[in-house]
Amino acid sequence: MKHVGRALPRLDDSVHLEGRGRFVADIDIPRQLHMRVVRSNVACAKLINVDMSEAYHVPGVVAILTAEEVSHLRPLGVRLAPAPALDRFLQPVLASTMVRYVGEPVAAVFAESAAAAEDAAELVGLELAPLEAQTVPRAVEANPADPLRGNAAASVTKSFGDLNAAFHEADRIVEVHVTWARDAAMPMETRGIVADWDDARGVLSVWGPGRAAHWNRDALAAMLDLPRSAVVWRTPHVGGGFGAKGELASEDILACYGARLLERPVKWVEDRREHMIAAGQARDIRATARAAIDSSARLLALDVDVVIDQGAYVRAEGTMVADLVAAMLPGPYRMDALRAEAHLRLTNKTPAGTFRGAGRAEAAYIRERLMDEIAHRTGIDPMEVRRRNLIEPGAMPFERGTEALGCRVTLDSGRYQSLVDQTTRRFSLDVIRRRAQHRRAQGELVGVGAAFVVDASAPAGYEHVKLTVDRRGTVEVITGAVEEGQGLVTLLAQIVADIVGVDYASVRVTTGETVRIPFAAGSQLARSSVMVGTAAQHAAETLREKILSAAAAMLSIPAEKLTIQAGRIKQADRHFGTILDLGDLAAAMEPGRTMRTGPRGAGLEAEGFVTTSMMTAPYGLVVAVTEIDKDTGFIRVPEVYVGYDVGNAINPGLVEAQIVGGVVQGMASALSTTLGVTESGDPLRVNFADFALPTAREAPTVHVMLVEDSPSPANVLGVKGAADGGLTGMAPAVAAAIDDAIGIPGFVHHLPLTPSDIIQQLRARKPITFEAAAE
Amino acid sequence: MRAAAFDYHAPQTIDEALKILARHGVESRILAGGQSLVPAMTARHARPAHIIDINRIGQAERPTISGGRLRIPPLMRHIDFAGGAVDGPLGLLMADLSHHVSTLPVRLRGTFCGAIAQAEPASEWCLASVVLGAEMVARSAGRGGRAIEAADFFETIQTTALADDEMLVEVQIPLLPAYARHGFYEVTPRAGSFALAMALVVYDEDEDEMSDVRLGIGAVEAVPRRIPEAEALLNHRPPSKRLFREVSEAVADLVQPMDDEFADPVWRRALTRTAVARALERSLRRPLDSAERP
Ligand SMILES: Cc1cc2nc3c(=O)[nH]c(=O)nc-3n(C[C@H](O)[C@H](O)[C@H](O)COP(=O)(O)OP(=O)(O)OC[C@H]3O[C@@H](n4cnc5c(N)ncnc54)[C@H](O)[C@@H]3O)c2cc1C
Repeated sequence: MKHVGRALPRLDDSVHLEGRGRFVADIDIPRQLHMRVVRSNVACAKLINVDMSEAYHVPGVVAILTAEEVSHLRPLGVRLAPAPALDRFLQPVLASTMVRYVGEPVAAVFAESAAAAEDAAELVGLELAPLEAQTVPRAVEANPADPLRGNAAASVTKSFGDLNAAFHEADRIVEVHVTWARDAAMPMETRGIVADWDDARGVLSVWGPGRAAHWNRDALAAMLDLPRSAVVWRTPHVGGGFGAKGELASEDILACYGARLLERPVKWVEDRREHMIAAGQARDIRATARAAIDSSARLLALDVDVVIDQGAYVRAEGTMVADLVAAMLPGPYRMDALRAEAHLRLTNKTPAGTFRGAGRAEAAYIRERLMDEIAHRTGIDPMEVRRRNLIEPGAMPFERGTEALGCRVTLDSGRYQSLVDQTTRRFSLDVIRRRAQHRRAQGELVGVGAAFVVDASAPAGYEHVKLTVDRRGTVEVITGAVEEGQGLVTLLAQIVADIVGVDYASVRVTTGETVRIPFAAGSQLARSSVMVGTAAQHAAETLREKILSAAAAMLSIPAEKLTIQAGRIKQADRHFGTILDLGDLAAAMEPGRTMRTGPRGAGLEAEGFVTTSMMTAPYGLVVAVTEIDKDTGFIRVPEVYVGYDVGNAINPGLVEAQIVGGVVQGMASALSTTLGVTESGDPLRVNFADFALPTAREAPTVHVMLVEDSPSPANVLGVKGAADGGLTGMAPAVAAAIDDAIGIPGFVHHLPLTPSDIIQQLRARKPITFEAAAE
Repeated sequence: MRAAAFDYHAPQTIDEALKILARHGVESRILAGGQSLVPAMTARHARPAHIIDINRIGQAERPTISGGRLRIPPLMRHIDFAGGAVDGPLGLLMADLSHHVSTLPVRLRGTFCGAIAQAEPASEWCLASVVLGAEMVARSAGRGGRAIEAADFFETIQTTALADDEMLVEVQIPLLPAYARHGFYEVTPRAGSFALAMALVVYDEDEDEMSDVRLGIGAVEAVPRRIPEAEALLNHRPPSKRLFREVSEAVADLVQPMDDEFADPVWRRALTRTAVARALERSLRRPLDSAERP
């Protein structure tokens, strides 16, 4: 049975459906202490004193740490896109003299029970002298309340071509101003960690939802002054990440440090309110974008300025988002010149991290709003404007002329025009547009909008996969990447099963355990299936060769005459008859006195490594239909159509699931979920009553067409990452569909757009100004 | 997200509950379905020293009918109204509204009386009790029972006429005549969220005209209330699109909408107009339709 290319069920579905998952919160260790973080409740203030006297009276309290006790711990470093200039903006483990956002850790309480820790944390007295909070990213001048740091943390510029010449030659210049409010990934499982210091052996064992288990291991080792081999990171089940989870944060450091200091295991599980004020947030951008176009609406150049509200500190993600926004702005279109600048500005808000589609969603929103504006200004159909500018298949692989995360942006392969045609045909998009027109003529507010997106997945890097076979014939795949619900376990099993010749359900996949594999880059930026999949493919090929040659030696039959089916070694030209079970062969290859075949001392195992220099660029067309209730202003997105090319889809069911999930998340980001603060910097939304995640009732029906037209030349499997598909195009598609519904091109330049904005607009029938919308 | 420490009491009878309540007064809170109280406690907004869990009190789950009234006991849950707790138009009305109270998990646990005691501006039951002229029966260990008219019961957001030592032991709602109709509409940003505006209209179908019209709005002001001006406009008139539009405009002009982070007053006024107009339209549907799920 062939597994690759089929929509096979996920191997871990039943575990989760039956509630048998074992997440961080499910892990308990005898003698463990519970940690509770005391957080600032003021956005900007001088920290004068931390009074712990009352808190220590709570029965069960063992220790309370403040900045004084952890002053020797360096601030958390930057993992992605580091730069030395960022050092002074890094977040300290605990605030010492200033607090800079509501939610900033000031102290950590360790107690015998979670309840005691929470009781005591409440009694820790923070003496704060509030200063004026800065909640809008201003230009370069420093925050008067916090003058030592300045506001401009970093700027990233990407450019190519002669911008001035292009704008000089232009037939027309089209400009948009767009903003997108703060939002955050909201995984069902919040952050958490369990740390256990074994003083006798000198080993720190950590259980945490790390997307980069190995980096976390190394960072912890460095921070706690331990050799790498003294830190063991294990990744239990992960209830979704979406970018909000998995980077080391202050809380993780405190738990690990506390475990070592107190010689007791420490458990920390974030609650939802904490997640909404302390975990990394995202988006919060404001951009000005100008396009120089010729007389036939072809792009000559883009000139874009993006300000990203980074919040109070720079965290492990560094300038990653700024880097990706700028690098991915040109997207799928040809142009002669680019200048894209992204500025990270500091404010007194929760620090920004990443959220699914990081950088690419922002870039798509800015660029596609600009494409719609070009269509409006030139009177050409929006899809036609895009089609004219799409890079042709003959130009692939196409050097974009920018770099993202230190890797050249190369559009590896793609038949963009063909995707537009196929999607249009498959979903009868013309009929859908006509139907909307017809309904508008009847007085309804219905619109259709589209966005073309290119994602960046799996930029340069490496991966390593190990395979072992035991005496039962069970194949184990070991990877440092993690299963976060995206289906990694299943697709690795599918790849390995086909090559080795076993059923995928019998393949065990071990993820995110640093003791089982020495190095790994982890899961982010839609890289797991591409990188780990490729490494698994290499490892499986090596394993297959080893199996066949060892069997050949044992049986004295030439290897070419043997094959493996359903875990049994057979003669290739015979239909029936097993000659050797895989388990028996593995047993025969185990080191020791019974060893009968194979290389000495190794057992039946294989490894696969991959390093790539070319990223993959999945792409798609996202078309959203919106309906607006004239009386209430509510915006519904009843249908979304997505045509998407991920190269070869290892498991089309998983890819589709990623796209559907991305669409819903993207819609939420465009219409409802936002994490604003008041003027004084107090968070407006700290629970799920206020933070309006869509329910099944609000979720659109998502129609997905997967196209496998352009396998990636960047890896042997021909795959491209699928994790962000669906999400990246939703904001601009929904924005365009709203414009269409109410008949005002360019109306939507701020997201999320609220029903109240719509009502005001319908009343006034005049576009609201940029300044008004940005407040 | 763990509640502050408290003493837990699980009385078996209402009298026992009242005694504990009398002993601890403001320091104590009754725990019914826990769907408002428990979240408030885990966020430590509420920190009662004593919890009086009334879920073990017997005979407090089934409604009774006597004296032309539906009598709702303290442990009747939102879900218990879904299948029609009483025959006739009142049962249909209550079933209709029950589908709008939050989501299934909350409906399975939360109680009618708990919602009345909680007095959220956006509570469907609070609006219904005001529009239908309910009487709240309060009892304390020291002073015995008293009845409070719905119109006098809700004082402001989450504040009622109940004294610290009083428990709501019953809510009585007059049955509706066989020819009564109702229309209900609420505007919610998403399934299961508190509404931003809601309207309930009840009237008797009298030949071609509407009579004994009662119309109330909820989620718009701090407490639900009837709008006599609208009722006067509708009474003894045949339903018509024009009339409904006129009434919804009138109500929207009359209300003083709240300003909170979910809706500014301008938008809420627009939503009020919509809720009233749509509630009136819905009242014309066949009764079975009006009990359909949202
Ligand atoms: C996500 C969510 C969404 C919701 N959406 C809605 C909605 O759309 N509409 C809506 O109406 N409600 C909504 N609610 C609230 C829900 O209806 C509650 O169930 C109800 O408000 C309280 O009933 P309870 O039985 O759970 O009371 P509890 O939470 O147990 O108690 C609430 C308060 O009432 C007091 N109390 C309870 N019973 C009595 C009594 N017999 N005598 C005196 N005092 C008493 C308690 O002491 C407490 O102060 C929602 C709740 C949640 C969690």
